[in-house]
Amino acid sequence: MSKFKRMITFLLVALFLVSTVPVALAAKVTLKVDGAAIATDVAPTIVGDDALVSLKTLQDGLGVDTTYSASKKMITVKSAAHTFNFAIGNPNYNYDGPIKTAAVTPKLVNKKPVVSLKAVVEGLGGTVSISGSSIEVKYFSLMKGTVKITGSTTLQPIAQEAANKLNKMNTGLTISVAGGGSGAGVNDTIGGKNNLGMSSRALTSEEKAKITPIAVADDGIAVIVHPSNPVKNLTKEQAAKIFLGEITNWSEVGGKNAPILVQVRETGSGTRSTLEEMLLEKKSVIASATPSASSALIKQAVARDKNAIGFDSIGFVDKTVKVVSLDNIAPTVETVKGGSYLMGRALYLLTKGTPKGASATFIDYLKTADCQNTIVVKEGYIKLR
Amino acid sequence: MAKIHRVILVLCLLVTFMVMFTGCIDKQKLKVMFGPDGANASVSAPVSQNGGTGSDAGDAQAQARQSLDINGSVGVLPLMKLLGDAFSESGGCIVNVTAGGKDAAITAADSGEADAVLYEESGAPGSENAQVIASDGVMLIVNAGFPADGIEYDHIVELFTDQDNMIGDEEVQLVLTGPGSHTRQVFEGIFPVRGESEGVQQSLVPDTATIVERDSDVVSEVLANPSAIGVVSIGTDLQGAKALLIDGRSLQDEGYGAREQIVLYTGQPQSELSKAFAGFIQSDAAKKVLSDNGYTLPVK
Repeated sequence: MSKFKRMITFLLVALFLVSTVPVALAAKVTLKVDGAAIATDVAPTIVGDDALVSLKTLQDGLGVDTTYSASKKMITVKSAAHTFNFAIGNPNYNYDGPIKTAAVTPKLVNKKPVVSLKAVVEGLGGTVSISGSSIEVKYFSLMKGTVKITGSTTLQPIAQEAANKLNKMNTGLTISVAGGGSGAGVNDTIGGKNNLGMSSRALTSEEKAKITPIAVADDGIAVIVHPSNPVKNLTKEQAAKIFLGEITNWSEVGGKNAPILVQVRETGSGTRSTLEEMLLEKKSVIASATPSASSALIKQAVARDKNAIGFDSIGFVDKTVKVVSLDNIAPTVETVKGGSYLMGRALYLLTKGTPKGASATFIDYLKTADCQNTIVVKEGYIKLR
Repeated sequence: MAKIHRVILVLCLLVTFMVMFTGCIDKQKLKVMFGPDGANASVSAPVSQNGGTGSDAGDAQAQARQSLDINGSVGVLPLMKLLGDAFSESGGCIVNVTAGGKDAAITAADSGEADAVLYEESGAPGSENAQVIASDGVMLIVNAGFPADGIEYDHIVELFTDQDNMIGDEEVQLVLTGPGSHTRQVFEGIFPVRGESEGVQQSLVPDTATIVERDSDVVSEVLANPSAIGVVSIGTDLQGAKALLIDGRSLQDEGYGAREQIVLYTGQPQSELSKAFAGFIQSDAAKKVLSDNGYTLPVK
């Protein structure tokens, strides 16, 4: 009987070891892009010297856009400079036109498509190295050359922070960022005076025929007043009439008996253009209004005068001014992303033709989870995804 | 002895009168009267305030102090306005309504900038001072002869974002009410069927979908078309149409994926205005507002 017990014990121990050792050996695969760890929704699968990764992993790590059609089983991966088309179950893929073959075949994992990491990274000009369960991607640390960026003062803080980070990461790279307003950004890009433009307004169809806008962040234009102003909400009609000069006293909108001092941005400002497009139905703000030459200056002007009203990017709004809701909707991440706030907008980088080299990589970096979380959100704007 | 009774009676009436109007008392005075945690203290004379936007100059500051601020998600903005108006009518108090989204609204309530928050929640509210005041949701309906009895949540999203047009071997025809309808807004709030284009959120429902005016029209279309799949509010008379199970659950089951609760959150700590509004929500007037506008009241 004791022999039988020993056998049972031995078998149980053996079963335990057999079942747990492979689990212990299958260490968690980690993925880093230029040293920064990427959180993954689907764990990467290492296959030889390549890996299958999810579309969200590519979006977060490399800043690319992705789409997947469940009915057609087709995957599109699009960076600033390149386009990849994959099909589930087919190792061949389309890279900017020509057909190439990936080392690993795209498939579905828990209904989510996964594709070859190496095909995408090397197509972008980066490198992939795999050691054990660690995947290291180099892309944003391989930048070199000069990138000149001009335009919107709304987008300027984001571009400047990103430029500082990438300049520090790459010894042979110089990215310079200057303001001037969206109008200057558009004209400089059309005229070839920069490598990338910045705009806080949508382009006209005429401009779109010449240059390409790429959204890198979302934003809302807040109507702002002095913190002591008791008015909390304006209807769209009231706000429009104030900026058109048709309502001139705060008492007409529930405030105290005092004249309304309208502060606006200068002609050429993307923020002013967007307000005129979305709130004023393409009419111009009152000509006698005081113009400020930047997002920072208009906020200061409103903060100085208790009867003032102005408008500014929510990225610049702080406690020195008070935000007034429009038609009872306040400009927040949820209302702008949800499309319910009247003056939500995208902020764009502009390119003339398909961007190349460091300019293209800079655009991709702005769309990574790293930049969106550590720069876009920190600066007070709304991240893309 | 009779004199003492009269004094007590007068005092009781006085206290009752003051309690009735606490919803409209200056917030600063309330803090002095009740203390920061709302503890009981001596009660001073109430301040009742009528008014609204567009009033005469001079007392705007006073108006702002004597107002109830309701914040919340955009999906319940119409409900916030209706309840705010009803509260205002019952107490003579100014009500400011702002939709800043659930997260921003809760932050506003906790910082004292808002007195009450309304938002949609798919599950039970987890935080203190939060209560379900009503529920809302949709059903996916098909013809009684339709071969499938259920559908997965993700498949609904694929169908209504043009990523698929089949249920089993059946090519389906989508039927919905228009973008401005309550049902459509609830549907698009529960299922992620909107996408961004140049910074603007847009419905991804394909152009091939049949758009009708009312829920009853959706039911009619589904009854007439064996391949139709329609979206209607919970509580709609299906007239023989079949409601699909979602992830194996029916509307009556816990965890049904197309139902949401309307939650009232009154901040932490609660202000006296918050308590007054929470009390009002339990009144018949508030319940009538909810039921008249298609919401289902929680079962006691």
